[in-house]
Order: sequence, then C-alpha cells, then structure tokens
Amino acid sequence: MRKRIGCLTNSGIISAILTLIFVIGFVLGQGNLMFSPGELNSKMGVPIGGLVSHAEIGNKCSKCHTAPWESVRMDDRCVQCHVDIASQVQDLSTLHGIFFINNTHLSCRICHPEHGGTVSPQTVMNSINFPHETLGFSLNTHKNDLCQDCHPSSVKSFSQETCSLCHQQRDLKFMQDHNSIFGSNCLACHDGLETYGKCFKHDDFPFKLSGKHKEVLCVECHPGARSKADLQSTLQDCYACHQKDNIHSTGIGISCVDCHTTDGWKPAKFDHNLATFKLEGKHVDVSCDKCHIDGKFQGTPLDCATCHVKDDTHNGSFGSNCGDCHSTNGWKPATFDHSLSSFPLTGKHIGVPCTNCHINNIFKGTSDYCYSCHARNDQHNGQYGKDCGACHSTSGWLPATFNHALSGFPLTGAHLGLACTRCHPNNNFKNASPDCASCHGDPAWHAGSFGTNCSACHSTTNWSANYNGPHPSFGDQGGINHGGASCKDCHTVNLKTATCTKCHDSNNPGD
Amino acid sequence: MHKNKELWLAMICMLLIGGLYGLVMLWDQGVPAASGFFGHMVGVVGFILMVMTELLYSLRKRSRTARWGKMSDWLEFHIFTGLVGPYMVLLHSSWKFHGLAGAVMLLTLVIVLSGFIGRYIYTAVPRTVDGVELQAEVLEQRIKEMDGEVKKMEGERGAGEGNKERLRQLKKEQERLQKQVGSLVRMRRMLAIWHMLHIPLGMALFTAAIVHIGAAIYYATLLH
Repeated sequence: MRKRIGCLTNSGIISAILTLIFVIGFVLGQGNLMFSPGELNSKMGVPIGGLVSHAEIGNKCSKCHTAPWESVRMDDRCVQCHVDIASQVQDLSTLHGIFFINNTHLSCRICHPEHGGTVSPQTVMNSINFPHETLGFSLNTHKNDLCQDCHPSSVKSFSQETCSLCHQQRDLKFMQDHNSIFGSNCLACHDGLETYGKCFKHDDFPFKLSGKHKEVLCVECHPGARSKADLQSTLQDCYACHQKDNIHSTGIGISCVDCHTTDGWKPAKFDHNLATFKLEGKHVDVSCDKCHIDGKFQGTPLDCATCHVKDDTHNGSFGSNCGDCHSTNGWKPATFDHSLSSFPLTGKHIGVPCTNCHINNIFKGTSDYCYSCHARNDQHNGQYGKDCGACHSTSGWLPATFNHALSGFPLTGAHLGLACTRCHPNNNFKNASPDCASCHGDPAWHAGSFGTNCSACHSTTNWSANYNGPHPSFGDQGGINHGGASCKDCHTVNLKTATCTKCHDSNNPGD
Repeated sequence: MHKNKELWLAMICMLLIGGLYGLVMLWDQGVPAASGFFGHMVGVVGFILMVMTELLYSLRKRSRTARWGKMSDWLEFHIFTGLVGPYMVLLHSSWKFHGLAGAVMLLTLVIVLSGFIGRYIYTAVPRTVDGVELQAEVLEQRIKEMDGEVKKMEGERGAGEGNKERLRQLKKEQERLQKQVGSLVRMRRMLAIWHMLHIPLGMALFTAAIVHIGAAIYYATLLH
C-alpha cells in the first residue's frame, strides 16, 4: 500500500478531528468568544437596550457583526442600540451629521474601535484615523500636531485665534501683514491642503498669471478679499484694475488686451484694420500721437485735411479729400481725374504738366478758355477770337476745322480745296476782302469790260461764263447767243474786238 | 556557513522582514494591526510558507517516480520555511494572543520548537551523503568485514609500521560504526516518538489555523 502524505497519519487525522471537536464545543458552550481578537470595553455607561457596556455581549458577535451576505451593515447594528446617534446622523448641526452626510463611506468603527481591551478608549480621534477633512479642514499639513494643539479646551470647539497664535510664532511679520490684508477668518480660504497657501497655483484658475501680473501682490488685484468666494469673484476684465492706467482719455474700449500684453504697456499692438480707418502706405509707420492728438482715438476725424491741411499745396482749391488724387504711398504721383473737372483733358492736354496750365498752383478758378494758355500760340493774331476749339482740336493745331460758312464768304466749288494761305496771305483772315478781284485778276480777254464781280458771270465751279448782259443784236440772229456761238467764237482776241470770220466769210453782215 | 546554511538564510530573511516591520511601525506610528494591510499580508504569506513547509516536504518524501532534488535540500527548505513562516505569523498577530488566534500562535511556537528537537534527532541518525538513512544491517555487515580485516592484520605479526597504523585506523573506524549502530537504533526510536508528537501537533495547528482564517474572513475581511 502506498504511504499517505506525512501529515495524514492516523494520529494526524485524529488530532485534526479532536481539534475541530474542541472548537465546536467551545463555540457551543462559550459562544463566539474564541474568535474575538480582544476583549470588549467594559466601561459602564447609560443603559441602552438593557446593556451598560459592550463587554456584556462579548460572546455574541452577531449583535454587532453582520454576515457578509446580509444587506444590513455593522453601523446599522450600532444605531439600533445607539438611537441618539441615529438621529444625529441626519442632523447637519451635529458632529455625526457632518461626518456621515458628506461621507457615506465612513464607519462608526473608524473613530470608535473595539476589541482593544476592557479599558480601551471608546473613542479614538487621533489625527491618523479621524476624518478631519469632512469638517472642511484637512490635517494634511498638520499631521504632526496633536488634537489639543488646535483644540486646547475641547475637540468640539475651535477658535481661529489659535491659528494666528501658532503661525505668528513662525513668522510674526507675515501674519501681521496677512491678517491686515485678508482679515482673520483663516478658514474662509485655508482648507488644510494649502489650496490657497503654498500649494496655490494661479494657473489652476481661469485667470492665468503671465508677464508682470506674476510680480503683483495678491491684494493689488483682490483688494478687500476675505474669503475664497471673494477671491473667485474678482472681476477678470482688464479695466477692473487698469482703469486708472488708461491714457486713452476718450477711450478705445476697455479691453486692454486687444492691444497690450502683460509684459508691459509698450509696445502696443493695435490692429488698425479693426478700425474704420485702415492704415496703409506711409500711414503705417506714423506714430499714434501724430494723428490722435491728446490721446483721443475714438472720434478722430477720418478726413485727410484734419492731418494734412498743412501739406495742402493746392491752397484748398481741391477740397479737403486728398485721397481723390493722392495715395498713402506718397503725395506723388498724384492721380487727378481731370474729367471730374469742367475741363476734361484730351489729346495733347493729357501729357501736359499741371503747372503749365495752373500757374502758381492755382487750380480752382483756372480759366478754361483756350486763349488763357494759347494766346501765344495764336497765329491768327486774335482774328478768330479766343476760342481756339472752334477750329482746332486738342490733338494738335492741324488739321484745323474752320467752318468758312460762318464767315461772310462761304467756300464752294473750287474754293473748297484751297489752302487758307491762297486767299489769306500773311495769315490775314479777318480783313481778307471777299471781292473776287482781291484774288482773281481781270483776264486780259475782258479786262475792264465787266467790272470786278466775277460771280456775275462765273461760278466757283469753273470759269465757264454765263453772260446775259447787254449785247449788240444782229437782227433776227440774236445777240449774245448768236447762232449758238460762244463768246470766244466772235471775240477771238478780246471782248473789245470781235470777228465773224470763224463762222462767216467776212465781217460784214450784209455780205 | 555552508553547514546549517538554511538556518543562516532563515535568520537573514527574518531580519529583513523584521526591518520592514519596523518601517511599517514608524509609518503607522504603532504596531501594525492584524487586520490591516501589512498585518494581513504578512499573515497570508506566513501561512502559505507554513503549508509549504509540511506539504512539499511530505510530497517529496513520498514520491517514488519524481526526483525533484535531493532529500537533504528539501529538508533544508522545510526548515527554512518552517522558521520564516511562523515568524511572519508571529508578526501578523500584532502581539495579541486572544482566543483561537492565540491558540494557533501557541501551537505554531510549539511546532517550531518541536522542529528544532526533531532536527537534532534527525541529524543524529546516520545517513548517506544523500540523506538516506543508513540501514543497521549494512553497518553491521561493514563491521563484520572490518572484524575480518582486523583479525587478519593482527595475525600478521612482525608487519611494518605502516601496517600498525592501518590497523589502528581500522579499529577506530570499527568503533565508530559500532557507535553508529547503537545510535541508529536509539535515534530511530526517538525520531519515531518525535513524529508521533510533531505530526498531530501539526494537524491540530492547521485545523485551528483554517478555522481562524475562516472566522477572520467572516468577521473582519468581509465586514461591512
């Protein structure tokens, strides 16, 4: 037979069984006392539920200990007897109320341990297991202090003078300053976790400290603060603190951060594009005070003349809106739209420098008569008036377009194609004679016969004559249109002589 | 230090655990409670070591097919865990010895003392290098053989000095073996008696310990 494992000998098994019997017997006889890790407190108190101390139920574990599968907790068993505590737990004005209402994980045995012996303290409120933070003040930084250090008379009472007395011993000057600034209600801000003490980080809050804000004392931004609520309710807009620093007298809003940083007021970075007046060209480099006199920003006039009246070389003749002609890149080149004036520039006028026409920078009121500029160009010696445009265009003096019909001598026929100088030598136009004889000499053929009015017989189309004046008659052969003959048929030499031999055999009409 | 190295190792281990216990005491500003994290942990580990003390050694002794190291090594392991385990259980007790827990602690101490006695008896039993008990018949057989050799050498009178020295050593060895035979019988009887106490004590201990663990879980660990 194979040997059993060493402990499972007959004597071993018997020993185990005997041990079990002993344990069961003890439990049946003495209750669960053998499982108790220590005696219960036997201090006698007010009778509760027929008992004056816990020791009386030392062998009845189930009076306090609940089975793991039961929903009832041990604390419920406590208050079944300690009914006064049961009512306190619901009352925030009591110590137990404060503990349990905000901390459901707490248990009676944390402060009231048992099985510590018959004379063990029933309440152990040392700083290790006492949930001091549930009272609004953690002992995180006071771990090494005893209860009586802060509660010299009774743990149920506390005076904040205790804080000052102790902390003044550590740093008197600081405490005096601190109390004078923030008052003496220490618990209004201090929670034992140094949240508002040495562990305080301003960046944990919405208002982050940066730049020069980091150097500022708390009281400068939080004057009169006496509690966390006061600190947290401090206004966060720039103007709340910096109204006194505002040099922009009429104001450009109260959001300093739009232009300034916490590193200092200067340099400021104002985005002028946010304003109605956009900075462009040379305006960009101009310092603010050049345009905004005495710190006035809002309401600064937008017209050019406000700043540039001293620069107006036109003496106001073009109005006050410099931008019509000039850009912010500089006064020159200017782009004046002459067509907006009463004298649009055309032709050769376009390339002419302004000063050629506008003497001494006089623009408004400059005469728009041609002669005011072109008198020196008048080759007609004023004979045609001062309105050069009547004949000439701005494209040039020539070709000129003179309407001869406006003169007393309309040009017709062969007169039309003639150069002016044919009839008007030496540019004499106005006094030129309209008589035909002033241009057309009397031809030898009829010299002196018909006077100087050529148009009596001739037209401007050609010299063919059409004479119907007095003429000797030849009886029934007529006179001037004798047999259909032309003048030269009879007057072969001149009108003073005549011959019939061109058609007749002799000059004697009787032959 | 090679001799009794398991004792040295156990002592070093206990010193280290003791040091850790001291640190915990400083941290908690008091004796760590048996139901606290450290107290529980040291109790659980100590109990596991104690179970290993009995179970693994017994399994190794009874195993015929598996050869997991020498018996002497397993004995050393048994002694090591048998010292460190109870030491940790003692620390777990937080120096309170009430009720069943106290009884378990007492049984543990008795077992440990018993173990010391048993170790003494055990080492007094002649064994081979591998820790296997020497059989009396083997010893007696050896004595007989040596007897023959002695008689033979004594018969060779007039032998040289070398032979005399050899004869003297042979007689000394023979004497030692005879003592061993006597000791073997005696120690075996004592070891058997010791086993009759040690094992039932161990079973009582483990039974009480299991009941204690069950009660602790019921009344403390699962307490709500």
